[in-house]
Amino acid sequence: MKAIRLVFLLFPAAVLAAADSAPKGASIAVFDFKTDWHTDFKLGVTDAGEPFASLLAIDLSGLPPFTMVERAEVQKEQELRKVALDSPMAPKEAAELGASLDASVLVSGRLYKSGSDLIAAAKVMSAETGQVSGTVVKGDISKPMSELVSRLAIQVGDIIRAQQGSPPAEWKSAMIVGTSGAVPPSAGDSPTYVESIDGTKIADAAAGWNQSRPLLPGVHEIVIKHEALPNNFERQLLFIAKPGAAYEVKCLLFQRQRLGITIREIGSDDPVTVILVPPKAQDSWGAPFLPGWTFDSEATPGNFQAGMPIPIPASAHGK
Amino acid sequence: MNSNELDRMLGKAAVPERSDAYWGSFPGRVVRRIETAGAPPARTRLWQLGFASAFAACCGLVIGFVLWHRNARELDDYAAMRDGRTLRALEDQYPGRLQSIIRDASGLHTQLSGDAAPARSDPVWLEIEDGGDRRVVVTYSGQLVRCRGKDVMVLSDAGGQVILVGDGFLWSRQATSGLGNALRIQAEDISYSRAHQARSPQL
Repeated sequence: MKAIRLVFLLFPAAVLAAADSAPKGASIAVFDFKTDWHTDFKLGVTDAGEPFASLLAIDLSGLPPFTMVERAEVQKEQELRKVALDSPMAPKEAAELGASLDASVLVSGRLYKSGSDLIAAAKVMSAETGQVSGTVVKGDISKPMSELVSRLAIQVGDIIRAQQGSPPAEWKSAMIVGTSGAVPPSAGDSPTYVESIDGTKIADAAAGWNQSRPLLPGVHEIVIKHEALPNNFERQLLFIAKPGAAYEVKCLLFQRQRLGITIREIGSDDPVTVILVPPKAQDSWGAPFLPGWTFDSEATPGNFQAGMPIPIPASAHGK
Repeated sequence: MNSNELDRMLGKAAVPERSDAYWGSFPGRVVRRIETAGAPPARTRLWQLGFASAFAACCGLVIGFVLWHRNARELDDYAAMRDGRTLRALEDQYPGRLQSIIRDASGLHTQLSGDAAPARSDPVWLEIEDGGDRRVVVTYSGQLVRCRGKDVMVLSDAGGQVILVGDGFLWSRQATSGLGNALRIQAEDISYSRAHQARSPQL
């Protein structure tokens, strides 16, 4: 559940950035989801509903034309008003809460464990009309929750649009594909490819490196591999897929000396995320090599297989 | 009259005199009487049987009619709850205050809110069977219903699906958690099914 902990470190800025740059639509406040100790224990996280809500907020921020209310503000109000999925709220109360948060939609929820499944139920309440709807998604509890959250975000988005009287949006899946040819050539000519998405290994991933893999819009945990690099270079990355976007994973030389693997939108030079490859095993991860980008202090040369992703810069969260 | 006087009187009494013809036919009459004494006359028995049958048939018809009528009325009540007729009638009666309509073994009940809340979410029909207890509830998305001794919230989504959620309790068509074996739930978003029917071509 390292990914869950990373959400706290990496993504508050992402939500804020998205809130600033998105066109005006519904303004959504996502409250912490409730969990019981049983579910927390199975997920290996205390209060797993909190990072789950953060991931959901990030995913919703990527679905135009929604904007997000800052999670810290929402959490403060949640403490004060005891907002919960199964607590009824009168339309007048919802309007007051919405006004205090500058939100037009209030989303709360609860996580359940049922056998080997993780179930997430969400309540969507319009602060303007008091209309209440809900939805539920189910996934494998042993897999990363990113895919589950992406599905929930789309369903919540559909409900919000329905409450607003808008037709369902077509948030198309994004695609991600590998590339061949390393830079510099000494790194070999083998492809850089996607090994797994949200904990699901791709069959024949190396042979099918040039096949596009679909990704629901939102945050995903993907593993990228380049076999020609030291230790069969393999890293787990979190990145945000925009609806309908096409991405490629590529091995590049940064600033003429540092080899790195990047995910970037096809047709754009702006990387969505980058991870550096140390020139040799003894190398340290070093200082930031791009303004505003930092390495995680937990990443050490001896910790090659447990690579940490670099924080996604605000500029990468376009709509 | 004492006992001696009675004896004297009986001693003086003479046997009534009968003709020879009487005594000649006497045995035959005794035999005929013995043969017919056990059974009632045939005409009397048929009449009673016919009457009893007609009475039973009448009773059967009356009971059948009452049961059919009661069942039909019950079915009509359930149909009215499911297609929203009861909801509309009570909404008109209690504008903005109706929270839920419940039909259980003791009859039809309504739950009203203290003050009028103009916002209305999608109406939902629920049938909850918990052991021998059966309840039909019509309520709105976002309202609470009692289930397994817990207050659970009814929610409907944009696609007409219904879920019940509470502390350690979840029911939906796709997934459940915290339910016992004896609990059976059916649910339908009335507004969605109505709208869907309206869009469907008439065959």
